[in-house]
Amino acid sequence: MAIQYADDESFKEQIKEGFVIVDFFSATCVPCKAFSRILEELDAELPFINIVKVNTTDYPKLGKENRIFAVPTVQFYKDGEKKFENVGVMEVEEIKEKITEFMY
Amino acid sequence: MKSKVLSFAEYDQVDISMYKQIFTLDEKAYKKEMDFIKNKNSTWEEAGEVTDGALIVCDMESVNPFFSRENLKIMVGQGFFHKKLEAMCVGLKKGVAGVLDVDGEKVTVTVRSIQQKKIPVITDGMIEALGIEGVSDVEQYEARLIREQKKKIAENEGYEAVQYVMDKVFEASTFDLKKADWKEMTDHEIKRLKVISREQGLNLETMTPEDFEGKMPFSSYHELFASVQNDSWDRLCGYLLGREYAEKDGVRYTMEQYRDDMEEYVKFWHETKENAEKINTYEYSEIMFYVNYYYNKVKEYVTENFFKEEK
Repeated sequence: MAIQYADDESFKEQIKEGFVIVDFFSATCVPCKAFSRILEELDAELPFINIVKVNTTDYPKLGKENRIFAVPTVQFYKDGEKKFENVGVMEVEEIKEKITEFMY
Repeated sequence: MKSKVLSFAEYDQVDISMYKQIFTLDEKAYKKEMDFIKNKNSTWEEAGEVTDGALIVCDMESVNPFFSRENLKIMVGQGFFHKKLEAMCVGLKKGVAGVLDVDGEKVTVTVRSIQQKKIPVITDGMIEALGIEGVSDVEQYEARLIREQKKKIAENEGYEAVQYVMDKVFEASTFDLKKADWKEMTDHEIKRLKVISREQGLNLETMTPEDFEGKMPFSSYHELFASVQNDSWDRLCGYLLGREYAEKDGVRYTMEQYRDDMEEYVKFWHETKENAEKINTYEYSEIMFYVNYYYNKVKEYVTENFFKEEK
């Protein structure tokens, strides 16, 4: 599963089933770029994990609706329900811990 | 400004051998980059038997609801589902039910599909696909990784060497420095700090030690002023040298560049354009452009020469 980008219309559909990692980012944030690379590494290693990226600069409504006050913010969803949220960069191993905790 | 450089020493003639380090490759970081490319280009192939690392889809039956599932996708060995059960799945054949004893629980696992990851050998084509300028084959990519590691170390640890080179150049150069220019250099910085403080509801001149706490490493305005004044002397020298090198390189600061700088500042600091221009006047930005022009030349020299030659 490749990394997918969300927009105002697609977001709810993208998170409603299974385990999904959502990355809220902005185009000009430097830590967001570092985190983006970490997610690319994760995607390359674990291609069955669903990753959805939300550009809060392009879709501020999504940021507001999901109460995003800083970027990057990463949220973990299971069948549409938010299980965990972290503000700031997470390392691959930390994300894996959350996968273990919430995926099944 | 009326100050000028009468003669100057070249920064790249300053000996920095006492700061040079022996480079040791960070194998872990290197492997991580190479694995990223391998993973990106890996393919999945159907297999008949479960191996460690395989991606399987299976059905499970057990009295324990956790182990009673259909079409469950597991990456064997990652431990995301159940480390022990995943290890026991290794060796199971596609379509054949296997009865496992997981901590005393009987779990029947029928593997529906097995996909085995095929990790490729990195090719020039994979490197080319990365789209890195000037890097089109594996050898060039490996050299780039090493170069980047060296650069990172030199940038993190080369600060002292950069300061040393600049001090040596200033010592060996002759400047005609005007007091008025030194004052101008100081005033620009103080004015800038005053605008920033005002934005935070503070008056720089009446700030208490508590007001300074966590914002600037001073306890009074006078202490801050003295420090800025002291730095401005070297800054003036750096500015003059920056102008010399920029002129030699055919580079100069323009209004267009200033507009770009302000645009960047607005984005990075989430400031209004008006505030950005108040904090960074054109004159201040121009000075800093030349100061940094020189600083970056020295930094580049240190970065490129920070490691001892390998024998």
